[in-house]
Amino acid sequence: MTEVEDRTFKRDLLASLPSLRAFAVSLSGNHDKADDLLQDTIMKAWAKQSSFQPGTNLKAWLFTILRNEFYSQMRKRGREVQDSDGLFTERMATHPGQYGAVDLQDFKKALEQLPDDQREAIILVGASGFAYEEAAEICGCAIGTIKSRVNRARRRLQDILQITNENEYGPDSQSAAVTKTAFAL
Amino acid sequence: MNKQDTNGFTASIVAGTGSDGQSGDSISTQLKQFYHSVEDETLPDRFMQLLDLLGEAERRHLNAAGSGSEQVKG
Repeated sequence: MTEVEDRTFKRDLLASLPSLRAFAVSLSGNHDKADDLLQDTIMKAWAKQSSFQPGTNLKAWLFTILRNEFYSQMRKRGREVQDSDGLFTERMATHPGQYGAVDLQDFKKALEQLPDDQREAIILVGASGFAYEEAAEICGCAIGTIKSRVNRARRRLQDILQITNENEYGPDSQSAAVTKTAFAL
Repeated sequence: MNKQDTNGFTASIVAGTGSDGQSGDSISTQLKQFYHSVEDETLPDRFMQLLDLLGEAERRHLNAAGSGSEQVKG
């Protein structure tokens, strides 16, 4: 790798970091873990940069490394109890006008209830801006699989968030939840 | 292609909502808002420092390899 390519790599890596970090937070549900994951990903990517083909999609390459790293760490540690961060809540509370903090917290909780494969699919396609085929490549599965995961994730989120909203209206929430579940099946 | 697929996703989100078009649209919106809210956070310093360290280490490595830096294997 020439020095020019080296600088380009660093610049492009840097440009991808905010989105990569948002993906890490989405996967781990926790800022501290996400930052550790991001650090490991940067080290891995740097060490492997000669295997990256300049001109191809660096962002997708980085997302693949981060995703693989996430699952390999999870396998090593065993499945931990989801340790969602209060940090996010704190941060959101400082910008309530900007993002609608309460809604977003509900949304984050709903997202955490999704199975990992559905969550990563809907994030990659719906938020990170990847095409279905890119998401399929990142996750190492077929395009059809990604599409069906995105659809299931979307339906699940709708169910969860509708139930959450109905809870706010009081005593009927339990029966509303039961009805929703019955219809969803 | 990329754009089309992204739009297709948004369209399917809206179309897939049945009688309640609002909630589907809001899922797509909230998903993006959640993601962008993290993207917009200030990147912790440790990442810039790490990249600087990695870059510095590599420069030293290249210099140590001598003037024929083009021959250094990537």
